[in-house]
Amino acid sequence: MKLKLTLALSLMLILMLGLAPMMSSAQTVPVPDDDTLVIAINGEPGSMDPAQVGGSTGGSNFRIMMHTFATLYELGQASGAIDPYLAHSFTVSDDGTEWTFHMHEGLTCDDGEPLTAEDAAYSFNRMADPANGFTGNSAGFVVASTGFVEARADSELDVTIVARKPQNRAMRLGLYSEVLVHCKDSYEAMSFEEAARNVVGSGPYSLAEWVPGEYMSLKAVEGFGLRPQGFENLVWRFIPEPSTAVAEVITGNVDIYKEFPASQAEAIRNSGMAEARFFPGTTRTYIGFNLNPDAPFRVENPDDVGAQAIMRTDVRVALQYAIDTDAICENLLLTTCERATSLVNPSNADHPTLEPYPYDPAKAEELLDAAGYPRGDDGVRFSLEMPARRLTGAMAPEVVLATAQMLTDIGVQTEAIFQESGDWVAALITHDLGPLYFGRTGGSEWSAQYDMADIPGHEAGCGEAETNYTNWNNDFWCTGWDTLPSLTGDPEAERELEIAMLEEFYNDPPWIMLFAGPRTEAVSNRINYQSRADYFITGYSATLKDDM
Amino acid sequence: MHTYIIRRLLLTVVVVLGVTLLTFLSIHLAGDPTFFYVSERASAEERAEARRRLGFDRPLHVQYFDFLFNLARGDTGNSLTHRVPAFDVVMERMPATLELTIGGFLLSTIVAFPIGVLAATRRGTMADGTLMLGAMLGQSMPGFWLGLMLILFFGVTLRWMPVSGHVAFLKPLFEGRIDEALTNLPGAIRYLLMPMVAVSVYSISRNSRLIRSAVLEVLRQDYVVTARAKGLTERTVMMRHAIRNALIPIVTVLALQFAFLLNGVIVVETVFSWPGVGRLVFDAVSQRDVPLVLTAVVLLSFLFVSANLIADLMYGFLDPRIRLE
Amino acid sequence: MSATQEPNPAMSESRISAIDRQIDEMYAPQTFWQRATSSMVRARYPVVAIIFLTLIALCAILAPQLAPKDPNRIEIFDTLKPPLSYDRDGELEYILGTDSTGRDVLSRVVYGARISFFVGLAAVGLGGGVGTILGLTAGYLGGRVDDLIMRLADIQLAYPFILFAIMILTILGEGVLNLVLVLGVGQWVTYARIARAETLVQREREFVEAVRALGATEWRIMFRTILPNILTPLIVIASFNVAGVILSEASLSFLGLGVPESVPTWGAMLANSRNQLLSGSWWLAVFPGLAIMFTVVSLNILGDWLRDFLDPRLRGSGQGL
Repeated sequence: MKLKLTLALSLMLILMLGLAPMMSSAQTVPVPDDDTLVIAINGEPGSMDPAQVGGSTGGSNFRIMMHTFATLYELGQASGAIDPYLAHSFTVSDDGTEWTFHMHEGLTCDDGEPLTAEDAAYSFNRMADPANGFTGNSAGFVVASTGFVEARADSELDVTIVARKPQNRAMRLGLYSEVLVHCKDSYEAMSFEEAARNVVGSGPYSLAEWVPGEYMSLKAVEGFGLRPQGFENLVWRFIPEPSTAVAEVITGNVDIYKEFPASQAEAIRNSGMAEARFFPGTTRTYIGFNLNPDAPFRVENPDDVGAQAIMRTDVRVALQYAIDTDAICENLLLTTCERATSLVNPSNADHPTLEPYPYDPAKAEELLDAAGYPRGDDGVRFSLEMPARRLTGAMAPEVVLATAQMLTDIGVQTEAIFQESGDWVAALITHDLGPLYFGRTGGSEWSAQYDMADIPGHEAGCGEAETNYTNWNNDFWCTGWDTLPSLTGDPEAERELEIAMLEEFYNDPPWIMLFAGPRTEAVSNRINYQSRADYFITGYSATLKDDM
Repeated sequence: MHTYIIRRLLLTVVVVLGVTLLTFLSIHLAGDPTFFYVSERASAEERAEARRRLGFDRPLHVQYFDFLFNLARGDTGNSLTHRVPAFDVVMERMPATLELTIGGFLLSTIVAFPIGVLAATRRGTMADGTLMLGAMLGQSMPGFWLGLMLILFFGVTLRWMPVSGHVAFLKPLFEGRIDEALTNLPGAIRYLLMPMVAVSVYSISRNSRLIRSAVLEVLRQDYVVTARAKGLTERTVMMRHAIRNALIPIVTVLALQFAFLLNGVIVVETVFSWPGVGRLVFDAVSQRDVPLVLTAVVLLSFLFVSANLIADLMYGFLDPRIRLE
Repeated sequence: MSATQEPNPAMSESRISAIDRQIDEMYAPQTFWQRATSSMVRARYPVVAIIFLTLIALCAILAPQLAPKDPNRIEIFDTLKPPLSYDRDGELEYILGTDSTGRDVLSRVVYGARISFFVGLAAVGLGGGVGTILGLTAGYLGGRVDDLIMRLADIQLAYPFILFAIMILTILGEGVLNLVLVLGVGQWVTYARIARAETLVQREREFVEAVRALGATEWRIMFRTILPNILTPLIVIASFNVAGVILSEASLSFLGLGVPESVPTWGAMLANSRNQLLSGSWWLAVFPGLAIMFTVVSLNILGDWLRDFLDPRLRGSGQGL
């Protein structure tokens, strides 16, 4: 009995080992080679439907779909650039509402279908149609921010996109550049379920293999002339744990890993396998003052000194002096960063002359004393709660805790409360989060108004508008925002008003301005690759170094 | 026996119902899931519209019975994030989780057995002390930590093992592609090794201590004393009498281990980028993907109940004194 | 000593009384604590475990006095100082170094004892208490009540614990009490099952019959008569479970769930150290890691000993391991 079992087992083993090489080649985890670039990302794409990008539902699919799909224009690598892509140029109607893009000839989708203006129009209408139920960046954000009405094909190569009102040109072009173009016939033939799992792309790469939970492998599209294709294969590996991803970089199994924990930089450098890059990002990091008079923490607790105190401009100005952003960046994020003067990124078209509030705790205390909030016997002036989320990088818990400590040090006892992302967002949207909250908001390098759009004008309700999470009701700002669209034909006047508005933001701050969160990126020594300040990873532009 | 199994299966239905109800209530108590499926810039009307489209505007009991009704028809609904049937999404990952759990189970049994028996037969010696100290230490390390240490030592420093990743074995096997499964096997084992160790060290330690006590207990029994008195060799005593009788309590606990191991996989899957259900369901909870969470919980609890059933059946099989009714 | 026997004249009075005393000592019923102490001293390891656990308990109680610094005080210019760091004046400032925000590791380890112990004991107390009462009730009353409680137990058992913890902590948010609740609820079934099985045995015993015949109420029988007789295995399991809870807390911290950032725990310290690990800041992991390891090992040794001492029957039954 025992002998038989042993025999059978050994036989099986011999068979397996003997036959293995003769059969089809074994599946392996993709590793970098001369034809293959491996990129690590923490999240995993859910749907690969080009109308369902980013947002809380898609995670990282936007990064990948930027390779499988092209856009009319593209948010460029260089700071502030928006480059032609499927379209070579565009014209704007006199009233600024109708934008016509002129597309290249001879474009095709992955399945060979010609890509024309009809397809571009279809892509816009498909994602915007509420009946299709799309959410995320295109359907949720672009449609609302541009006031999208409809798209139509004027001819074979000309597509016109209609919006309700004019808008800052750079801002609108940037927003239109976030809509992924896909072919009508291919996507009409697919159900939503099929479209979530299959890709008929229009970009430089096509989907070759998708192993759920593990990786997605893209293959260069032959004859795609609009963008470089540095590597034949682009592999996106899904690695949820940052320490593991860094270990993969160190062992040479991953070429690019964006947003590694700053503290791992030394380990990456010491490995000799990769560079550990630090550079300014575009995501604005700030502490919001919730000024909503109907917020539950004010209504339920009318005697709460802190919640009332921050309603005053002088108090909000005083608190600006309490935060040492340089110390935070140098000691916690291990890089340097520039403190913001307003809600516009320092690298974007921010205010030309304003100086960031300096770190001056003595002055902060002096101003608070003058405002009538002296330290009590316990050294506390008033107390505030600061809801935050557990995020990484510039929004890491350490940064949140350090800011709370700095506020506490000037007598404003601040408690950071880490909430589940969903609860935090739900309270944020309904303007109930606070009294302070530690937040971030995506920013750009190509339009001041893109960054300013967080706080819209009277027309959208100003204080009540959904995105005005602080419920800041500054009349000058709100009026200014309503005036801006009428100035799109006169860039100088437009800029002048922007600058005046930013000054108002500085003087009557609804935020404690921090910085545009610095980003990190590990890049293998074997490749040439230019890091981007924004969220994206342009894998197609990476090339193998000559001496490799 | 048959009635017993039928009763247990009926019980399974009750359990799955309870589990879904609990999950359903908790995920809805955690706030309106709609907020995860609208943009942060959505207006109140847009949110209401999204809520209606997703069906979250209906009364909770309607939503729950709807889910149950559809589940009974085999329709789990589409995952809100993956936008394909939730059942498919979970089943895609199930093989990887099973690989890890079964691998961990086998390892924890195969390694724990000789350790436990050896320690019991050498009771009070240096070997016993060392093994049991090792077992104690193995029981005092959180799984994620052990996993990271393995990566650091065998993956990064020594470069003997791949840091993370997965080669499929069970999936092609289940899909009938046996030759592919066999071709993948060496690679699959290579990638499985470290996660398997991380998931099972706690169990190995626990089991070897358990096996040692079980064997010691049996050695103290009259029939073993008699066997020794009869002049049987120590080896025969051990094999014939001691180990065989010690098996009964051991097997019960081992079978329960399977369920216990499933607990550890969420953490270990995260550390080793293992494409299993654990990580999937963790993400689904944080994204409030209601259909996906419910489906995953139903399937996982079904697995739990099955493992427990097998444990009970084996118990009855090994110990004829126990009648299952 | 029978009256017909003469005392041995060769044996002096004092000698006899000495032997009597010895015999008394050998056979007289020792108190429970005397037996416990001698059993423990004989086994040696439990003594070490008790001493270590006492030290940790002292740390927990006297944390504010023992910790050299405020465990949550962030010193942004003193981040990642290695152990035995001196300040500018040459004074020893950070004995065990600082973490990535400049918080004192020693103080956090000392305060961590507090939370780890509290969470461990409270969760086991909660789970053990609820489980025991439910198990006792189910076993004693039987019938529908038994069915209901045991089906609840089945449901709980079919729910992967960590998934349950994620769900509940997602709803309740982070907090020490929420963590206690989750970890407590996660283990009531173990106690309920054992309490029920033991109750089924005790219920049929003569002394219970006797008490019942005397007209005692059901409550009195359950809690005054049966409960004390089923406690032993439950106490043994509880000692192992405290160790399990400390480890579970660490795993939840790794997943970003658990206690607030302002509450130092060993598990969270260990989990947070992973980002510094590759960069060689070993002290962030080693000290909380050692604290967890020694505590868990001590609790297990103590559990082993308790089992052998209180209820040798349990040996090999797998319970409590």
